[in-house]
Amino acid sequence: MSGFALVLGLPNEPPLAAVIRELVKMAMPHVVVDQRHLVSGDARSWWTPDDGAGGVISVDGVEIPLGDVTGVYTRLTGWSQLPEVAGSPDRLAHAGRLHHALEGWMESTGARVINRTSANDSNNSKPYQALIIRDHFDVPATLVTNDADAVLAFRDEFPRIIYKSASGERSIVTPFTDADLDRLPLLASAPVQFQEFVSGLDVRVHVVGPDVFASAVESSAVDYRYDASGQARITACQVPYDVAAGCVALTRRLGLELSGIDLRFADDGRVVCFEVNPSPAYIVYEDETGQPIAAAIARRLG
Amino acid sequence: MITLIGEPEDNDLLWLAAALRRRGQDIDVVLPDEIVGATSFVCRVDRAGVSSSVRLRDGRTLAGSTPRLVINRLAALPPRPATSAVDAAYLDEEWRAALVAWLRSLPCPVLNPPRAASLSGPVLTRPAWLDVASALGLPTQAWTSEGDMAIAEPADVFVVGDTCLDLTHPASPTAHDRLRQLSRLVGAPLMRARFDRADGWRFAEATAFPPLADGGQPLVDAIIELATSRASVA
Repeated sequence: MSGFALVLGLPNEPPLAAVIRELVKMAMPHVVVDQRHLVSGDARSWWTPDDGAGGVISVDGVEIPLGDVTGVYTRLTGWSQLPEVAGSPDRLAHAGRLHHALEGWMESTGARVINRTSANDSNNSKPYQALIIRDHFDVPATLVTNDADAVLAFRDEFPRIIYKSASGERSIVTPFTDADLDRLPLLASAPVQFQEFVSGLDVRVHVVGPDVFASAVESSAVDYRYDASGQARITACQVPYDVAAGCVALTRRLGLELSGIDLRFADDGRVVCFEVNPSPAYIVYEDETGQPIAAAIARRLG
Repeated sequence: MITLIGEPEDNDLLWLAAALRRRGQDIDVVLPDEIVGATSFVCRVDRAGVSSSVRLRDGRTLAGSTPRLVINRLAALPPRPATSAVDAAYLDEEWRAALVAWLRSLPCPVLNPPRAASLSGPVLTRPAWLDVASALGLPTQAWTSEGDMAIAEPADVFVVGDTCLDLTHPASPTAHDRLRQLSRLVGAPLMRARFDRADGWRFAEATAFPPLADGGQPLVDAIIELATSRASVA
């Protein structure tokens, strides 16, 4: 088997399915490994001083030599949650071993990995990620606190503030209002992330290697991802050169090949960055704008 | 002030605290329980700068500017009261995210800076360590997922900032240079590397959560030197 691209995950998941379609269109040699079948197969990996990382995946009776992989698009999900391992400690242990072997290979291979697990880390602490982002873009004033007095003082600084999760757990960005004052004692459980509300135009930028795809999102909701009005509009747009370059640089700095960057072009002229998502569900934006993001990902695997 | 954060069962942390105290160092040991029970946890990031303050129930305050150096040995967080397992997991994630931001925002050296996936610092797979070490020019062992390669004649080297400490056998100056680069590259200013001398000093593995007591007084000296030099620079 000569060089080929490797796709790991659940093939019916839209972001993966789109890349697979593009690989077929490009006639690029590739192998798709369905994670649900993988857990019934096997994986071994190794590292040698002479040849670096290598390995073999055995699935559905086929052996796949990892040393021939040119690029990997991985959207492996939490393997312990797969129904194929439910109720069986032996299958769970086996799945753990083979995912460990795969992880060992992906973290040490010279092949292009979209994206390495280690590079996903910063997204699990938004305020930590902000410490990095602020070297590239403006960041909203952010307060992570369990102190009600600190929240009230923060609110006094800005016309409006919002709150959301600080971790990678998805939450709905919510305005902090007088109705929330009675809930402030709940901060005793854990700090909450508060931010200044920044009014402006949302722009989601997908970065794939050197390629930049920007989409403007018009929505009246505070968090357009949860705009129930059905009025949200996503359209392709161009961003200034320095913004595009900043997105590419930030993506590279985080060790990522693919990212979804949430910007807001603020009414006061700032370009504010909220988050860099290492596993973006880019397909929604591609479907609305026609931007060839999946094709760009597929090309990076060759 | 040198602040040490970790569990009371962490014998290495307690050993280091006692050793630093014997050397006349002003130290403070803070437990994870005390941090998540803080009466005030504040971490702020904006374009003007970064600031933090943690006020513990006993009145101690960990202001961002106070410690000269932090030894971070956080491994896990104590569970918080919650109405369900899902809520408990969410609270744990939120505290981890907050603590990573807090420790990463401190201006003093933190040994080691946490990651969201690992509060005590970077956790690399063994092949990842080998790959990075090899890329930096260190001769390395081989590895297989089928079982760890034995280390016939182990020789350990601690890295503390820019200082390399040979525990039993002297490594070469070149190896020391490579290890300093490795430490900076992976983000672990405190780490222990293990070589196998049986095949000409081949790098075998490393850890960013080393058994501190193995470092002995030289480790204590290096930590004091790091805390002192940063204080004088500041």
